[in-house]
Amino acid sequence: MRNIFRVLLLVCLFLWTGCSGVHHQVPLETHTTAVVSKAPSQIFVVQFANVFIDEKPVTEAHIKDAIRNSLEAALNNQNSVETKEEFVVFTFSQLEWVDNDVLRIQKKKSIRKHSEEVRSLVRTYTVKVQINHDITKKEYVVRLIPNQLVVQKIMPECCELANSGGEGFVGCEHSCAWGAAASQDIDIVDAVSSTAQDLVDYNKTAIHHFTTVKNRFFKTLDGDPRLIRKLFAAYMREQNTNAVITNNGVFLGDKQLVCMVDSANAVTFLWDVDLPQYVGLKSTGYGDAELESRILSLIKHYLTVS
Amino acid sequence: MKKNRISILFFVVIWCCLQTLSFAASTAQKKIICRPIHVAVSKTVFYAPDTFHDGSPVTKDALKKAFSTTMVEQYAETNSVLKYKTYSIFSELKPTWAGDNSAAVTLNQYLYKNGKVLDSTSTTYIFNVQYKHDKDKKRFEARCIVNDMAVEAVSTAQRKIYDKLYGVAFWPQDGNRQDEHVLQFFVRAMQSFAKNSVQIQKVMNIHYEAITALGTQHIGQLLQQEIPAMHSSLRVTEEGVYWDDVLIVAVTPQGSLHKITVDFDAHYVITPHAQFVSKKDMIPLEYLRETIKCALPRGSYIEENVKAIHKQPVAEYFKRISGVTVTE
Repeated sequence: MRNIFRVLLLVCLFLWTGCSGVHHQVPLETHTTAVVSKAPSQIFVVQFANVFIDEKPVTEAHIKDAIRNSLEAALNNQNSVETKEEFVVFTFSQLEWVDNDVLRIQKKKSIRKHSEEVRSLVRTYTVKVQINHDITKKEYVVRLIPNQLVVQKIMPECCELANSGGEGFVGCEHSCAWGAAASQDIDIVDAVSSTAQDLVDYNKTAIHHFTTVKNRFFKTLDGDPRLIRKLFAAYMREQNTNAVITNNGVFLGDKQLVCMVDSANAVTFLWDVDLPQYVGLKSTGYGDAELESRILSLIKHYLTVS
Repeated sequence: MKKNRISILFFVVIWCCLQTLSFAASTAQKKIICRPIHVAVSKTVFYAPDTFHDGSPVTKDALKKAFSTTMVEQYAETNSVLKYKTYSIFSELKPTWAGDNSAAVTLNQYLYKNGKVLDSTSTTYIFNVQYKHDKDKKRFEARCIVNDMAVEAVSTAQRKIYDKLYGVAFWPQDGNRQDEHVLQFFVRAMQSFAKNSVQIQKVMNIHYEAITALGTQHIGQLLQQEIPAMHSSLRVTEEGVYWDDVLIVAVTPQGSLHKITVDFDAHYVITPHAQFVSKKDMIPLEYLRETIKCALPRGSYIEENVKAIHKQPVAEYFKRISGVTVTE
């Protein structure tokens, strides 16, 4: 009995190692070095009130979310694609909290040939986020400190990164250009800088909490339904929103905003939409639902005036 | 004791199952769709001369390669990352050939968010290529017809992202614009291949030998003279000059003398109109040419001459310049 169990255990272990071996492929040879960033050393400090416009307290989680979202958008903006002879280079970055107060940015250049990655370079940057709450002054002080040390990983080991000029490698088997390291370092600091600006930009609601606003309306227009619809469609076309008008109502993308119901001699417009509202430090806004709110207010205007 | 074992065994079995399941899940499911393409003119003729610059005839393989390069280059010129909020779309073109007459060009698009691929689609356009040799006009014609159906592979659970700003679907991208972008060439009926895309490669060897009586230090100085000031992977050692890991100039002692051997394979690209050295070999080739032309002839002295040009002793030097009166 004991022997049978032993054999079974061994078989299972063998299966397990086999299974895990299938999709954990053996990594290619890598080459990791630490270098000093070419960007000038900078610290970004921003100060703002510790309450929202509706007097609700700002928490650290709100600030951290704002920093992450803003930085992700700034980094996404830096994504690029280049073609060098037969190679295509994708440049993109990945953002993650690695610690309670450290954001890690991995900027990857992936060199591809025939739709497959042939080699890659990952530069890892870290940004320290210090959040101090000054209760007496009723404000937050946030410091964003990009680390000067950059970890650089080349897969597989072949080429060194060109530090000056943009020519890349001369003797490399594939003349693959990584681009200048310095410009990448500066890009990262730029992204952090724009994040710091976003936090205190009063027009944006980077630091925010959500509330939902109910938008309800109901109106019946008397008259020939066909004419009413025609006039309404003409008005909406003039406004140049991206709303689509169908027999059933008004749509934005695949979301229905307004319902239109015909009766014998009238058309009824009605809607009941929950719009998310962003409550920021100095203003409120609709954020993602900006366009929906604009379309609804335009329709409301049209219906009340006519 | 037995119960323990059974429970361990049970866990191991479950673990194995989970591992296999996760492996199966990682390969995303795709479905294949055929759709008509949205480009009006779907055939074109490419022209190319029938001989290369060096007199060798243009082959079918060269034309095939030229077609692929032309498609890829034309696409790359206007290729850029599409962005919406924190989403990005990367795209690339991959040409493949099946035999001499049918080609497929696949457009791969990847939806990225925060450094990860969320979704991908690939659209394959199929081409039929016929070749004709016009001996009177000394040129090749490649007649190219696009199949009016494109094959699309999309994931079964495709994501949908709507760009509110422009009121269009951000993902998946609009098929019309895609087709126009890829098939830019097929809006006109006659074309020539992209510049320099009809080409062959050729290797030419540079060989040079010199015997010198100079010491290794002086040889090093000679070889150093023409090294470009800009960053390059050329470096001078006692054994000669290395270009990355390749020894392109070798210095070998021969008795009391030294032999300098230059041996380098330069890759050339030959098109019907011109012939030029490949970009990769440009810097070492330029260096070697200059070194052979200028630096090395200066060092090919025989032993007596070398002795004669050795520096004057300091005392002799002072004696010579003491005759000159220095005015203050």
